[in-house]
Formats: sequence, C-alpha cells, structure tokens
Amino acid sequence: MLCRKGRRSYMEDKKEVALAERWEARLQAELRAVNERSARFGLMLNEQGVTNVAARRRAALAETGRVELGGSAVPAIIDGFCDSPYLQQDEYEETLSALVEAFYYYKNESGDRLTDGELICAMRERYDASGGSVEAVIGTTLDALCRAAKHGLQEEPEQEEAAKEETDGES
Amino acid sequence: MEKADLTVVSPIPSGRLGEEHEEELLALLAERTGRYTMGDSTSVRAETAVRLLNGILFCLELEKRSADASTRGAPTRERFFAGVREAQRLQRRAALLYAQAKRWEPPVVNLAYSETLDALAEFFRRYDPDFFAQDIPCAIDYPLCQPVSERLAGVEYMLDYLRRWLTESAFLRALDAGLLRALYEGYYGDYNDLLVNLYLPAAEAATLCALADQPVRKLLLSTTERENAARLIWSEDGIAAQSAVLTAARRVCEELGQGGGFARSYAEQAALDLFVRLRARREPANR
Repeated sequence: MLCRKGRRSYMEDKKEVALAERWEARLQAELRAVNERSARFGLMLNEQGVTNVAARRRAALAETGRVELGGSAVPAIIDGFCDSPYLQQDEYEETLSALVEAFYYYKNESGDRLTDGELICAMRERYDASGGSVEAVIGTTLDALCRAAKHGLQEEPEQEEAAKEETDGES
Repeated sequence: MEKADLTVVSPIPSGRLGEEHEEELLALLAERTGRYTMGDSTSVRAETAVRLLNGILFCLELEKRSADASTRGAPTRERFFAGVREAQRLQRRAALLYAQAKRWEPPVVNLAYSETLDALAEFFRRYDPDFFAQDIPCAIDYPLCQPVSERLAGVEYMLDYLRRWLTESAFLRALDAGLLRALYEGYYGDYNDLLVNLYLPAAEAATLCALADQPVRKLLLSTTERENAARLIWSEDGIAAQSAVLTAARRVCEELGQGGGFARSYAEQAALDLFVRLRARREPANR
C-alpha cells in the first residue's frame, strides 16, 4: 500500500490498521466467492488458506511497492489457473501464493505495460508448458515468460549453454 | 494483524482526514485508479496512486476556491469533478495568456526567454486535469524577477507564471531596444547565453533614473547621476529613503504606461529589492 513519511500518531496508526484490515477482509470475501468457481475443478481454499493467501498477497504488494484500491487480481489469477490439469488440491494454496507473488513482481518488471489478463495468460502458458512447475514460472525473466506465451516453451539461454557444454564434453 | 507485519499505511496524507470524508475519498481514488488503468490492472505502483490522490486533492482544493459555489457541501465525487472543470477553465485562461505572450515579445530577448516560451507550449499539450491536475508538464527555465510561489501547483502555477511573464514583457516593450542591449551587456556581459532575467536590470535602471530625476526611458546614467541616486538611497533616514524609492517606482510605471495594480506592485517590489541591496552595500563610514 502507499507509504507516508514522517511521524505518525497512535490514532493515525490505529486508523490505518483498521483500513488495511477492511481491505484484507474484502479480499477474503472475494476468495470465498471464487471458491465456488474453482470447486468445479476440485480446488478450494479452506478458511486458513483464505487467510494465508490474503496475507501473502498483502506482503507481496508491500514488497513490490504496489497497491490495490478496488478489487484484487487474486480472483483473476485463480480463474486463470484453476482449470489447469497440473494444479492439484494438495498444493493449491502454496502454488497460488507463489503465483500471486510472481504476478506482482512481473507487473513491476513489465512497467505496467502488460494488462493483468495478458500476464496471467503468459504465466499460465509457462506453467502448463513446464508440466505444472511453479519454479518455471517464478524462476524466469519477463521476456522469457512472454516469449513462451507467444512461441511455446523454449530452453533458457543458460540451459542451452549448459546442454551444449555437456554435449561438447561427451564428444 | 501484527503491527510488525503491517507495511500498509493510509493513502490519505496526514492532516487531510478531517477535511475530506475518508470513505468517499478512498472510493473516488479507487474509481480514478481504475479509470487510469482503463480496467486493465487491479494494482498500480504506490507512487502512481499517490500522484492520483494528489490530483484528486488538488481538484478538491480548486473547487473550494472557485467562484462557482454550486457544489459546496456536495459529495466528494461531485466536488472533484467540479474541480476538474475548474482546472480546465483555468487551463483555457492560461492558453489565452500564452497566446498573448507569444504575440507580445520584448524588443530584446535571450536564449532562455525564447526557449522557455517555446517549451511552455508543452504544458498545454500534456496537462491532464483528469488525473494529474497538480502537475506542470513542461520545462520552465526562464527565471522571473519575482518567482511564482512554490505553494502553487498545476495550472495555478502556470497562470501566475504567465501573468508575471506578461507583466515583465509589457514593461520591457516600453523601452528602447538599443538601450536595453547596452544595459544588459553592462549588467550581465553575455546576456544572450546566460540564464538571466531581462526585467530586473531594466526595472532597476529605470528606478535609478527616476531617483536621479532623469527620464526613466534613458536607462543609462552617467557616473555622477548614478551617485546622486545612490546618495538618496544611502541617506541616514532609511524610511525616507525607502519612500523615495517607492515613489520613483511609481513614477517609472506612470512614464512607461504600466497602469495596472499588479504591474505597479511588481515594479515596487523590484525597487524595494534594489533598495535593500544598495543599502547593504553602504560604505561603513556612512553608517
């Protein structure tokens, strides 16, 4: 959320906490609502999961210096991934949390030039193309992510180089 | 919620909560942020949100000060849009002043003057009262004799800058180009390439001419005439000296046809600044 410099009074802090709690509660309500859609694919967040994902989103926003003042991108991320054949219930909360963190990171990396929908699509493409690997989504660059969305998953240049060295060594 | 984890703070600047209804303001900020991203993004950088908020607050301030009181006490959103309309109205007024500034250039200009005059056009192309009414999206290099207050922002800053610009230009247009050039060369040296104000030397010279009981358009005084004028400023009676300087400034305005109240107070302020500077340079023996 937004940063403000200078000393703050106790009342100001209290008001800000109340405000943040209200926004968090709103996201939690959105997550409960989207459960109804993701349940069709066998994916649901329990109450603790809702709280945890909301907290990870809050932390991710703070770390990336971003704010959400209306709705949140998290329901859209859920909608964008819940029909993936690789996303399973037992890892749903952790995978979702990691994707949310990656999402806000990549929004910054793109300079806000990618819409939410475009970025979610690119992340989903990479996730599915790598057989459901969250590491493949979070461990890449924005350029590679967008290239994968456009042309299909390709080896990273470092991986190509390593593969080439291995081949040269054998011969 | 643990306070240690809390990195969120209110987007509303300190001291404003009492003036604006917080819920309405936040709802409006959320709406404007959505419009800014055209619905393509649920999140923005914190700096962007702060800029958008400052734009909202600027427009709310404009609404408070506008002559149209029809939206006083209305919901925040309605007052905001009234403020946006006020910013647009002021922008149109500033555009007229700018057109005037382009038509009425002084007889002698320098590079800073010309380049700034061209650069000001960028303001009217890029000014965005819908989202960032507080911004001044152009480079303003030419230094005025009396700068615009730093408290002003956005279109209000531009309006005041142009008003002062036109006041200075009108003053200089009443003077001879050749005398102005000679004055600037003596005052600044290479006045064309330096980032210097063209009104100040002329106002000072004209005031000294009036003090020396010479025609103000003469601008260039002999050494004796200059010393006579300085003696008046350096007299023991500071109040009388200051009064003489102000009277001289008024005579300058009358002789040059600068009748407006703002033009006169502008010239008087330049004369007072000259008075303070020359008094400070008095010989120790005169104190």
